[in-house]
Amino acid sequence: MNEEILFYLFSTLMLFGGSAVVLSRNPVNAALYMILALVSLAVLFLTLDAFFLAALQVLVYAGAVMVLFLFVIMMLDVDLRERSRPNIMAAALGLVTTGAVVAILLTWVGEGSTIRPSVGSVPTPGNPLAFVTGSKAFGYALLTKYMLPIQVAGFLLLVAMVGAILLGRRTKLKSSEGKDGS
Amino acid sequence: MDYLTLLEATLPDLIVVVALFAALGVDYGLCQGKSPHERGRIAGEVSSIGLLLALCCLAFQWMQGSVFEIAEGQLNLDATGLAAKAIVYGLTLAVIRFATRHCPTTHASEYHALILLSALGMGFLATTENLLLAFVALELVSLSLYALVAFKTSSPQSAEAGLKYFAFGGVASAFFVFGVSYLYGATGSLDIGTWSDWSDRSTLFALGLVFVLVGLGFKVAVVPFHLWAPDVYQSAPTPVAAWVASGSKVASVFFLVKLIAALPPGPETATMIFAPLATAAIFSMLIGNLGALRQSNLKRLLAYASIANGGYLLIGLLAGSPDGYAASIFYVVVYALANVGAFGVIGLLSDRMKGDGRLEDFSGSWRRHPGLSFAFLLFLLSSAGIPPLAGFVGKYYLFYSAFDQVEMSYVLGELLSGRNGWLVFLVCLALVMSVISLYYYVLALKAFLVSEDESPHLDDDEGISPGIKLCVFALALLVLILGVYPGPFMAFLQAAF
Repeated sequence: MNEEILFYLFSTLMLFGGSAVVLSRNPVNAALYMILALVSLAVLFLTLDAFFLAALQVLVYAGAVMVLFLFVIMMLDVDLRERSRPNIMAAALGLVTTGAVVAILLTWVGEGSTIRPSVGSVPTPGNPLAFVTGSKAFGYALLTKYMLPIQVAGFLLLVAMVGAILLGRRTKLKSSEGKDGS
Repeated sequence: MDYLTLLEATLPDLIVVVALFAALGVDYGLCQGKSPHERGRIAGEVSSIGLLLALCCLAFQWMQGSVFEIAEGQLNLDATGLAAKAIVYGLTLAVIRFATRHCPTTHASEYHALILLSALGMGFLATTENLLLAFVALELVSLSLYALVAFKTSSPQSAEAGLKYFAFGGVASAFFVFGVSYLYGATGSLDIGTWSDWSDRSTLFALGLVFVLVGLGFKVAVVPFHLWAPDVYQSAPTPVAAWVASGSKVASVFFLVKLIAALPPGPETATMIFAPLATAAIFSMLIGNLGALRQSNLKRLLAYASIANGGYLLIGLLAGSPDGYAASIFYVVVYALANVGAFGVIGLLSDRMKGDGRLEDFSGSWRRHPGLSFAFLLFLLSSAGIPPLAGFVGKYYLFYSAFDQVEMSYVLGELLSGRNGWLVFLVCLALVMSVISLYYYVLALKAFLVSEDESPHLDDDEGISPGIKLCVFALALLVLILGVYPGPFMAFLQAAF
């Protein structure tokens, strides 16, 4: 019962945070609301006994990623006036799509089917889910069963690094090329 | 799963990884004093050698009859899987050859390394049956392509195209991963191979599937996820445009076909996604072909043609039979071969003279480069579907597989109702559109073969090495061979489903 109250409380907070991210005009406010949404999600993980995942959620997303977000927003100095004209067509289209998705999900709830637990990883007292028990089991799964996705994700980071360096050098290159041409 | 199996299964990919680090390392360590052109050449040679070794390794694995399966369908390397990877790496080799000739900036080694990294992602995407690995591989492909499209740092259009591609791609990826989470919730498994023995079809499953299809539809550039294509094809460096049109499309279609083929059997599943896919196919053919009619830029024209081709290959998926799946793959491979070749020729003829690919730029190419122009003729006629070239056979297989699924009836009402009606309408529309497409393909050929050259100062033959010409002719030969003698390849593909 208590867990149910927690679920409703924090999912409401999360939904509020999520909509506030989209609706707020000021990007810094939006980023702060996003932290609210992410921390509420971490609490939802806690109620599912996924302690390690909750800790990761707070550390990585609410902590590191959001600091980067704020940093970039402040560096770029986004012009607020440009954002203040909402696009009616886009908003209507977004609302229709969201409404359709919500309607489909409600149909699904009406059908009475449930989420299927992952094959072979139904948590039992002797055999809990990998991400529930803690970092050791989590790491073990990553380095055995999910070895290949982890390696590919490593290359993903390499691409991101190479791409960011290349594109980040743009302004410098452009000015030097301009000098050559003149 | 033990590491040794994993190592053995991914040996060709590891060779590509070594090649890309070698290309970067040689450039950074040994070539600092050399000219940009020279450095590009060296990076290109290193990458090509790596790809050739990887292809040899794949051929060796194929001859040994190796079959690798990594846990939960993460990799499924049977004969078809190895062939898919070989096709992707073969296309990469062609693109690398074209890219070596002219690098848009001084960062030649990164240019080649990014192409190899995206090839790596495509190799995994084409051979996986696991939604998690598919997502990571798809992201690897997308991120490298964003950087490659925006690579021409001196051109604002290239940056704009990159940004457009990135914005669309980011949303599409979000849809894809969201859909994957629903599919995981509905089926309890990331392995699409387990779907067939799962009978409970919930609405959640359908919703997840539609989201995943949005993500893949973006990669294949079907309407309504096509808006990025014209800008990207036109403004990206030409070899990159060839790469977006070929490798990325081939790998996505391989995964798309696997996804559709893995759907649990039953009429319910078919109806679940039939209408959305059919609508996308119809509008892709309409917008692609009619849009291409108005283009005066050759690359933009080919971009619209590629949207239309995305529509054609959905017909094979909609047929829902093993023949249809095989026909879709056959078609996309043939299309990719012709497009790499066509973009390659465009790049060879226009990049040096700073042309951005307007049709007039190519007038009189016939006189200056008879061989390349003839190859270009073959590529475009194949795409238009003129026998005896491969494009014709591909279209024939596609349309035949769809007609094969129509339940014949002498009552017109029965023939044209429901699924039958959709299939009949799709094939008829595709036939009409193929005729229309002939107009713009011939318009492009007219510039090459008939129009007189009014600007003789553009003569510039010295830059085209025999190696690159050989590459173009090899592609043209493949298009011809697959057209004249498609049987073995098609039978091989059909055996996979």
